[in-house]
Amino acid sequence: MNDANPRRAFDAIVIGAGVVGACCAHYLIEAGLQVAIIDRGSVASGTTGAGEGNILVSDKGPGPELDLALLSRRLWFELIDVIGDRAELEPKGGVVIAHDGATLTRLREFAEVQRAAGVETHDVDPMQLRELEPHINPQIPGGVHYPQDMQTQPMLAAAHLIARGVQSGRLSRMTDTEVTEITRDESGRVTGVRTLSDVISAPIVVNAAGTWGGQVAALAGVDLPILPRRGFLLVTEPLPITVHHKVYAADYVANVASDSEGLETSAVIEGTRGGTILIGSSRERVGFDATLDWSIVQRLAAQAVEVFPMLAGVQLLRTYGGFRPYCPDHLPVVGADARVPGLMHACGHEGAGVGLAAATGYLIAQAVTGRPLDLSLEPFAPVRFDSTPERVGAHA
Amino acid sequence: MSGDPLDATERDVVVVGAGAAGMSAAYAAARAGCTVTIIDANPVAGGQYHRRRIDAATYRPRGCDDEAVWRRIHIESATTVYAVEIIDHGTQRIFGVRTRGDDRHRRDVDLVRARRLIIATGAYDRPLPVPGWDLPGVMTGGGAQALIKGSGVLPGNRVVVAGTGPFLLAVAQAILEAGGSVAAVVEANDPVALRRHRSALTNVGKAGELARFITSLTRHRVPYLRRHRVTRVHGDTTVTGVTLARVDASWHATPGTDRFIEADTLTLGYGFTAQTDLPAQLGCTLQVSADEGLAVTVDDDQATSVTGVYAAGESTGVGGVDLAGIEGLLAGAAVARSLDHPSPLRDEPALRRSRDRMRAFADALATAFPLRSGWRDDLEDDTVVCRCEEVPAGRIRNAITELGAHDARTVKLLTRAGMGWCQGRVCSLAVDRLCPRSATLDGQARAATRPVAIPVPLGAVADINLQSRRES
Repeated sequence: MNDANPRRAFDAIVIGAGVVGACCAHYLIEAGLQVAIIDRGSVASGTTGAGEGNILVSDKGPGPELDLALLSRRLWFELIDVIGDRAELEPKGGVVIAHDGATLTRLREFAEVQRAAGVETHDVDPMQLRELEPHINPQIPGGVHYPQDMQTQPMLAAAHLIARGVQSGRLSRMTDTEVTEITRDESGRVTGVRTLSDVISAPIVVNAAGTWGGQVAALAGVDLPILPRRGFLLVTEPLPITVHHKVYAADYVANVASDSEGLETSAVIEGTRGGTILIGSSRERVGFDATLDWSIVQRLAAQAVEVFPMLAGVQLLRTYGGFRPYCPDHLPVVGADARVPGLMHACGHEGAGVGLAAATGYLIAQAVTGRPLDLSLEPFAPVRFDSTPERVGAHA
Repeated sequence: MSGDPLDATERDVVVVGAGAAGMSAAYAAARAGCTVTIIDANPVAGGQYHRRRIDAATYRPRGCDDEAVWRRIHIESATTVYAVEIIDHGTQRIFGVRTRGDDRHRRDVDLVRARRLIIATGAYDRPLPVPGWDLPGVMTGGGAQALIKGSGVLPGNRVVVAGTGPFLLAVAQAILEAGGSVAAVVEANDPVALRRHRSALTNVGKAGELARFITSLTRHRVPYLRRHRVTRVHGDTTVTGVTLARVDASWHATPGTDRFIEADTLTLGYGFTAQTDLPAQLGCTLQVSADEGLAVTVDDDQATSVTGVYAAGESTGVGGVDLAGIEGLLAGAAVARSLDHPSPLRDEPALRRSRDRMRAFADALATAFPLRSGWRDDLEDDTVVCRCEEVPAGRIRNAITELGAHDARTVKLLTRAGMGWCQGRVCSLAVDRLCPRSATLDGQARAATRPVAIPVPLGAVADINLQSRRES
């Protein structure tokens, strides 16, 4: 059931109706464009619906991703002004803990560097830790409090942003619609997309296909090295509020930045507005295999119970999993593809897609409309992985 | 893991479920010489059909009467399997069966190893929402029957039995036999189509049973209202009555046919949902069966698409207790053969023929009582659809019309319908049917995959002793 809009020509087409695609569409229509958002599934049916909804600054060291995250965090408040409380934004803050003295020292050094880059951080001792999290294991020697960390319900955020666009008459929502080709003219410039049943034209196509961004890029004849990095989350029974912040172990940052294909887990624990507690996180590169591995569940549960001993008696209700879009340098791909004029990428955000979505959409809209960029997209350039001198298309 | 004490618990066969299918399967496999453990959630064996009080005589399925065989079978009662996994993928395939004891707050968990698995987990009631169905006094037909059979307790003083399918008659009969009063049996379909299958009915010996049910209703002056539905449940704190309406073939109520019936209890049941959690965890192929629900696909040997995993009874498609027993025997025999034991069955070809005949009849019966869509008209915006997460119909409709959700999975992500304690077992059919597009088989199979079949304490999951795989 797509919108009755018979329009088949747009100013821009966004492929992917996840949270990143929704933000791209939002800022493009705010810039005055007529936009179509196309997804082969439903809204938020990919990685957006398989994560925790993190909007984090705590896990990023100084550099382009932290700059993007800080901009995005500010923009998320604007988005929430637009769609209201329905996206369940919780500016609850994060608490990073260290299990031993040596890790704590490294964590605090890291926090100091972050502080210099504009992140608000507070070192906390065990007593302050218990004030922040009354149920935390008293043997934990300390940690760092990051008040800027937030959480949202990303499926609702994406769905409401898209719905608002549809209501404004500037966005066409085409779900259950699979793009089979990104069409180009003789000069190589993008002219639109072909779907299983239709031809839709637009001079700009934004690839916001997340973990499947590489496959969408291939529809335009270009390579994008995005690989799935699997993760599982455990969900407990609903409880009265017991975990107040996003609480995670310091080794999480090292694991996120790791290039290993093997299984890595680190304790990540947080509550949700529904009352359930989400427990992560695992990461491994095993392709698109979604089979649950109980040795991972065991590790996640054990790590969570170590941080919050009271969780031992709490019921595990279900698990879910998904695939983060992983790039070799852990940075997203955002901006124009120099190989195919008219093709923009907004994908490969690994586990940070929700947090980085707002700035991604905002910067994509600036790039599309030729306005000055608030932040350089150079570090996120799509061609940074391309070692071949030949470029597809004439305007390389 | 050499020296692992859990190796001692490795069995040739673990059968999950001690109903007619599971007990027959265990018996056949044990008779052939396999070591067998049955794991069952109930305190006493018998399953839903033979549900019995704890002091009743031990249940023995038809044709399974050698007590020497039963003495070799270990039954782990009051124990639920929350997950199954393949521990060893090699030539000696080993399954891990993760169990939890009766008290969910205790860390009474175990990991049983088995070379073969037989899934005989049965089916559960399939209700559909109606305004007021969350009032105390509304229950499933199976729930009412379990109360009577298991505890000797009548579900209420004056009961309306509603839904569709021959099971309504069985529920009414159970209430009448226990001395209760049935105000009406309300059947949404008009099963005239059954007459076409009269020969099949006679063939499988079901005609007599159905005739007996109907006679019993007549004798007790209980109206059997075909083409009728309960469109509303009345009451403030508990059920005081229901509104009935005549319905057309699509179950839409005919205007002006409403009438009120006084009652303190309503049972609802639109057939059954096959319990496919465990085979879905293992990736077994599922199919849509004649009753439009999912069931495990099995071959002539009751083998699923995953090597070493067999299934029997209602989990392969709802078909009744006699069919379940035969499927169990065949599954047990096939498992024994796969472990190089001779078949314990005297006349397997005859059993296979009976099974096929009864399965064809079950499918015909299901087609005579189809699911239609008119029930959706009854739902008001505040009618709760997902009871665990208290999601009303209005929020589901909003997710569909405003937020662009077209399928049950997206509705779930946007409304939390199906995310609660029962993990969608009660509401997933209704949510699916409220969507503009029913889920594809893949989508349905995905929705039916519950990695944790029942809740289990995190502390138990974290237990290092239950680690199934060596850390790399």
